Amino acid sequence: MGREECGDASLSCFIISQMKMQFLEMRNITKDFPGVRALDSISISLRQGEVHALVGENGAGKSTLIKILSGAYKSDQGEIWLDGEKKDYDSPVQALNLGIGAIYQEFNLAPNLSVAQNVMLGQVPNRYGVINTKEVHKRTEEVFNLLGVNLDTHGLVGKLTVAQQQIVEIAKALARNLRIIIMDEPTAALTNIEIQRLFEVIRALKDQAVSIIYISHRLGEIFEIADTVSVLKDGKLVGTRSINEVNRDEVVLMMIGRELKDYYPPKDTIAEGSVLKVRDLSVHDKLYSINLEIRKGEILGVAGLEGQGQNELVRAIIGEIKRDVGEIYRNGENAKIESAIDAIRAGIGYIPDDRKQDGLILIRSVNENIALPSLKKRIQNLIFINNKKEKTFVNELIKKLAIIITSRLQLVRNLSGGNQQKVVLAKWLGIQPEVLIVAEPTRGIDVGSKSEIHHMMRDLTRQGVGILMVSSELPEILGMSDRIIVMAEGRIVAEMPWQQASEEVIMAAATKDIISEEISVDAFTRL
Amino acid sequence: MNDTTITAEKQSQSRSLKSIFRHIRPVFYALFLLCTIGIITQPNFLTIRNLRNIILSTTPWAIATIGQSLTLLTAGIDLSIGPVVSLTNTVAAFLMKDYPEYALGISFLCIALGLLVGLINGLVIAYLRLNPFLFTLASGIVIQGLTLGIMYQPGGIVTPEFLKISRVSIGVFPLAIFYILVLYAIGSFILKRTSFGLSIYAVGGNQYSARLSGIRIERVLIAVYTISGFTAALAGLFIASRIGSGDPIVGEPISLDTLTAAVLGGTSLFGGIGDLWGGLAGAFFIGTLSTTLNLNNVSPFYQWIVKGFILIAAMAIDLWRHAGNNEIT
Repeated sequence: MGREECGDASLSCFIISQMKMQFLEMRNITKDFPGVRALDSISISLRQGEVHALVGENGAGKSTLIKILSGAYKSDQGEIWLDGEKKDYDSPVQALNLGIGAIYQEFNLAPNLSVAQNVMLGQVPNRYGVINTKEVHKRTEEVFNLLGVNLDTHGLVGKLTVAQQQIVEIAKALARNLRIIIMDEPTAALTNIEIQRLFEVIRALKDQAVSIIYISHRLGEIFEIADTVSVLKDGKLVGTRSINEVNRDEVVLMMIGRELKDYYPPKDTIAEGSVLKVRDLSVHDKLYSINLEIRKGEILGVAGLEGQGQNELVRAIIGEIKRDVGEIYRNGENAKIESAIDAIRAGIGYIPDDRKQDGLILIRSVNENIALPSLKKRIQNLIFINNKKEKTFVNELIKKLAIIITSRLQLVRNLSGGNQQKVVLAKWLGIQPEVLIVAEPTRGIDVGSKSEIHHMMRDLTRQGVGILMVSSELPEILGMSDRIIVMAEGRIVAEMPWQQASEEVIMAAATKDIISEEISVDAFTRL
Repeated sequence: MNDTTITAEKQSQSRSLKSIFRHIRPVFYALFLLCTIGIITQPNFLTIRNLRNIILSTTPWAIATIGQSLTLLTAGIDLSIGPVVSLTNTVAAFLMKDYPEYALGISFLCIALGLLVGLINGLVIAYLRLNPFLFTLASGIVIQGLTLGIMYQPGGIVTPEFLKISRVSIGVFPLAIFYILVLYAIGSFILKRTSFGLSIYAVGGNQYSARLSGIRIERVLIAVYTISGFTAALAGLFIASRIGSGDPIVGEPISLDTLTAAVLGGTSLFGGIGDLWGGLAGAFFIGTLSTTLNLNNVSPFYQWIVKGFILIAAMAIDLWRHAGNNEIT
């Protein structure tokens, strides 16, 4: 398999030998789960050095397909051919031995080990079980050189940024001499600069004849990096196109089977009065005298580079981070919010950016998740849960948000990302909030659900809810906000009505106070 | 009807049967299997005397398992249960010997002691955020020391009225079975039908998310450990009534046995999944096993080995079951 021809693990030799090799073919892959056909006779092929994007709404079958390719699942029917040979495997280890590996959204890194140890994990050079530390670092350096990155191999992985960890994952894949790397939403947690850096790495991989299956909800990225795009819908392959042959609208049409005309809902609400006012809010080392006001019926967008205090701001408002100074006023009165419980009592709902970690209880049911913040006010009699009330309450919200589930007792863990996010939204709509604080409302979810959530947010403002929305996606900020504030280094550096906003204006404001060169240079060299 | 529809129907039938079997927890099969083995190996197994014996010896385990299950559901654990059982058992026998006229007051004192230990456990775990495993282990050691300080050897005696708690029967049923049923019914009702119960699951499922949803997680934790102290105290008193005297190390195996019972019954060690009835079946499994092994004259140290392996098996089943659930996406 190439590797043997080279004798030792010399990467360049291995890669040259790979150039001659043929490609991967998945033929008529079918997979059934109880009650659903997750994949229906999917055939996809992959060339050497090709970036093949896989798109589709949540639940379209992308995850199942890559799990079959990476050996986590076994297909019920269909064949996988590699180099003109039929391969039968059903474990990730076997897939790795064939040169197929996946980088999932959740990294499989050991935070307490060094960069080099992580890269070489599972194939540590050793003699009689004693690790050759020098060799570990040398081989890691080799991989980093190939990738053109400069990262300290001795540093602890736990101390790296998400982007750097992503690089370590990729290096790990490369050190295993993988020829097919599956990347599942690799940019979900990256900043724009880091995304550009990742793309450079992907291009470097292409030059080394590594093929990449790239899964992303961000269509812009796909047009930037992919050669080919395959669209899945309801477990079927809608089509495979060369990226030059299609445009964005056509891909969306293939994905959702209809045209998504009004991507963002019209900004037709009138903002008036003040529902929430933040006065002189400071948090040590994180936020410096923040003043802002959310009005009834408006969406206030908070833009900025990632990690400029947006996260701290929302958590300080709901009292989950202790404020050094500063008050939160609700309808002109000091609301004295010291914890999430106070925030709920004050009619503030909070949708955190990480739905799996903070927003939901994955191992419990849809029903329980939605009911949780509303138990006291709307569901219980004395201390007893009123089952009837609970059922109507939850069913109403499920219907309102068009959450697709088999039963309200279904575990949230088993829902797609879009439906999970709708459960979070339902949960907070249930308390009938006057203020909704939303962080990254559509991160990592499909375009259909994304649009539904955007429309739902606009509907809320029509009912007079004031929304504060933090987002790292500029199109979302521009498309949704009535007013935009820009944060940099824990301060609000600009405020503008949406009519005056554009990507350029926001980026200029976001990077003005920090010497813009320093950020980019720093971010690049540290990688 | 053609062939394909028939096969399709057959398939759906077998699938639903399969799903029914999937829903019955392994512990019930295990209990069934164990009883079968007992009946086959021991002609005495089905005698009323033996069954009463199983119920009476399982009762304290079963009662204390309520508390253990609740702490496990919050992703915690209570290793002070055993020492609290010893403490309350010892204090009851120690005081009743000298003050038989205050038997009722002494019983309440013992319950108060259990509540107090649980409250302290809860306060420390909720507010100081100490690891429940280590803290309850440590507080358990302290309590064990105190208990040995009160009475170094088995001794003391309980009043004849107090003895009746464990010895009264209704027909052939010992009253103990009703204690168990009532406590489990109340516990299950709280767990399933009150917002406090739902909060327990939420805290165990994802503590931070529960907090953001407006759950007062500190209160939930304190309540759960206090309940655990309470059920441990009841178990200690029951043992005092059953053996008629005090034994400062009688509760030693109970911390781990309740853990095994709860996990065997399907309560996850990682919190957020499980219920009480499974733990009850688990407790009866252990109780029946001990009795059966005793009937077969298996030496106590083999029993320890068997129990250890059962705990390992229970944990393995726990992991396997949850991995299995992942498949259905």
